[in-house]
Amino acid sequence: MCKQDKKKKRIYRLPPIPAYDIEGTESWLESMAKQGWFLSGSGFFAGVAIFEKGEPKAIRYRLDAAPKSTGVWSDGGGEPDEEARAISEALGWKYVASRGNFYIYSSDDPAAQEFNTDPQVQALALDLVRRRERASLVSTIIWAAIYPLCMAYGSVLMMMIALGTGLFLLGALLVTWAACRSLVQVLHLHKLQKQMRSGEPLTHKKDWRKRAVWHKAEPFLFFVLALAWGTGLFQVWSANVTEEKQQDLKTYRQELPFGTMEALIPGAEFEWDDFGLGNTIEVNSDILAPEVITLSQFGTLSLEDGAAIEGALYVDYFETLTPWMAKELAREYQVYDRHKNRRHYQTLQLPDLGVDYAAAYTAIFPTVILTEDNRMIRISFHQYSDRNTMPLEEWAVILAEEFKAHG
Amino acid sequence: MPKKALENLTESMFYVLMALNHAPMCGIEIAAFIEQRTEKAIRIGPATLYTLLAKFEKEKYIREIEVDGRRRTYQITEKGTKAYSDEVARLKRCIADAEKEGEFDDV
Repeated sequence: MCKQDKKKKRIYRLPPIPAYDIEGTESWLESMAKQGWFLSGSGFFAGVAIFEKGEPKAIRYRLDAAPKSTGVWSDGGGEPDEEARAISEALGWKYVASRGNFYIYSSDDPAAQEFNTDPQVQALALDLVRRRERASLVSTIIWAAIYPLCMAYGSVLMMMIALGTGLFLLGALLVTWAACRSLVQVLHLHKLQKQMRSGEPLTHKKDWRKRAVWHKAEPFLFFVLALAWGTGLFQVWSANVTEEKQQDLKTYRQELPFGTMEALIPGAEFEWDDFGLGNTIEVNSDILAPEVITLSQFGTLSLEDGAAIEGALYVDYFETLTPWMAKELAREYQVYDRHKNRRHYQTLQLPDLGVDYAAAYTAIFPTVILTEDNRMIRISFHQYSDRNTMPLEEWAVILAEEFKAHG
Repeated sequence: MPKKALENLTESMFYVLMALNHAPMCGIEIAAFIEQRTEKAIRIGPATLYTLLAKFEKEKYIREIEVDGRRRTYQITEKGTKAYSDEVARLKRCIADAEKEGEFDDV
């Protein structure tokens, strides 16, 4: 205990043991009491323990499995019911605070009966806590892992590139970390219950210093990473909402690695259709896809005989790291489009386009997916004039040639 | 290990049922009864006591008959009485078997 602490009346400490470690928590609190620091009625705030100064003494602390949530918004405000407190007080124990799934009681009367006198009954009390933690573990896995994958129809690679591989992996790490924490807690409580059911009581003495540094650092590290992930996610969302990375396609001068509407009829006059949206291009980059281009183009191709083809071209282009990734991305996009547009999805026939992989379908608009080496492109062409239309077999061939030529 | 938690009563469970079989009581009275009846050989802890009261109430071995501030009075039910008397019978059989062995005549 440092000299400065001795002068203070209140100190704040990161717990060196996890909330589910009953014996560790009891030993630590007793050790603090011997130094004159007693857990305050405020207990723990944001994971930090609050201690108040007093005369050093030997005091017993005991943890009691809470039959219901200890959250502030739960029934009873997260405190034990009145009967439990009355019985405890009558037998020499005082309720102090709660932490995690446990109530913390203390007694400075050495003659007071031990808080739990029947380990098998204590095992019964732990049952509810174990069930809550098991439900929490299942919930974490379902909502943080299975649900997002289901919403994306299993398109992991697509999600990684859209979110950013770094951000995706950090999210996966946090989910795994949270699930592991929950699992460790469930296993620890299971081990304790097994011990209690065999009639063996807890010893209330544990060397809590052994892994103190890790247990203090771990929640802080998790919080920092979660904050970083949240910030990253917000930035991605914000960029999508404000469309800050979108550029005007009409003034875009860089060469594109694929063909656009102008390529469909060489020599035809191309005029931009400006509906106030569309005619945009967004260029991104990711670890797994060094070049990602999203394009939407609205225009009219006018032929010499006065005929015109009016339409909108939507392109998603990816240059990935390997041919396998390009093919996997193509598969995932197809699956995604099939599930998302179940009512309109229909497979279409394509001639041989001379690329590694080609598929065509209609998912609202006629769509072609092509891969060549490590590149993949998804092109949807919506022709909104009935007067002149270019059949899929024609525009797919032209755009496939353009795609191969830019490889 | 019993498949169900209350299949075999532990010592604490037995004495709590004994107390309530004697008369309706609140938690503090149960603790005092047990200590007095066993001549301080058994002193039930508070967490053990209120965990058992909650469990017995859920399993319908006891029912709450009165609430007065923080004090709740319980009464044993038919199911609880049966569980208690079954346990007494079981313990008597154990003692009878031990006495047949003849090793504990002086107890």
